[in-house]
Amino acid sequence: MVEWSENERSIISNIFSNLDYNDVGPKALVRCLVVYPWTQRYFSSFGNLYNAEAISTNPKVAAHGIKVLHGLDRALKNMDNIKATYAELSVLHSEKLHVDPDNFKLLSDCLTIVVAGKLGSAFTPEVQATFQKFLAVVVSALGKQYH
Amino acid sequence: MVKWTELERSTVKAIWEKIDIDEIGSQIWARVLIVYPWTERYFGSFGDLFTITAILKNDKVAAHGRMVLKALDKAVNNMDNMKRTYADLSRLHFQKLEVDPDSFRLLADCITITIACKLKSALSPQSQAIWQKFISAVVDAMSSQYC
Repeated sequence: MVEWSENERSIISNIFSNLDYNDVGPKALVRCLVVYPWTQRYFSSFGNLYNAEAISTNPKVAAHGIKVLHGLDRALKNMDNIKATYAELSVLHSEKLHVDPDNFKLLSDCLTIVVAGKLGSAFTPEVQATFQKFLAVVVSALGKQYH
Repeated sequence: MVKWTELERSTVKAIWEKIDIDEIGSQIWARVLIVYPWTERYFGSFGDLFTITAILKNDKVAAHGRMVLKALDKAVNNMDNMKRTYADLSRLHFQKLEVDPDSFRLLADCITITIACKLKSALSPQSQAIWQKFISAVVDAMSSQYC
C-alpha cells in the first residue's frame, strides 16, 4: 500500500481544491490528442479531430476531459486505497475499451503540464514530486487489471 | 536525421528566446533531484543535497543547470545536426561520467515542466508537441554514443 505523509495529502488536496475542472479537464485531454496523435484512435465517435484547432473546440473532447478529471476525485477521496478504487475502471479500459495502458501515463503527463501552466512558480519541485507520485499511483491502479 | 518543418524550427526558437538561462537553469536540476532523488548519486561533489531546502539553495546545482541549458543552446542552433553536435558529450556521459541514459529523459521532462510553469498558456498543445519532438531528438543524440 502506498504511504502518504500529511504534507503530501495536503499538497494534493490543495491542487484539486483550486482546480477549475471545466478548464483543466478539456485542456489535458486536448493536449494528449495533439501531442500524442495516436490516442485519437480511441475517440472515433467524437467527430472532427483532424487538426489541433478542431480538437481544441470539439465539445465531446471537452466533456470527456471533464469526466476524466472528475474520475481523479475518486483517488483523492480514497488515497489509501487507490488500487481497489480503480479496479472496475481498469477492467473496463482493458476488456471493453481496449485502451493501451501506456496511454494512461501520456494523459497524466499532459495533465501535469496543464497544472504546471496554471500554477506557474507555485508548481514547485516538491509539489511536482507529490503530484507525479499521486498520478503514478493512479496510472498503476488503472493498469492493474490488465492481463 | 530528424526532419524539421519551418514551423517547427521557428516554434523551437520562439520558445528558446523566452527562456532566461540564469533563471530557468537553477530550477531544472532542482526539479530532477527532488522529483527523482536517485539522480543525486551523480552529484556527490555538490555538497548538501539532503533536503529540499538544501537542494533549492545549492549554488553548484544552480550552476550546473545553467551549464546544461547553455549546451541545449547548441541544439537549438544545430537542429539538423544534433547527433554530431552532441557526440563528444554523449561519449563523456557514457565513458567517464557513467550516467544512465534514462536520466536524460527525466531531465528533458523537468525542462519541459519548468518551461510550462514559465510560459503557462503560451505553451500551447501544438508548441508542446514541437518542443517535445525537439527535446526527444536531444535525448537521442545524448544517448547515441552509448553501446
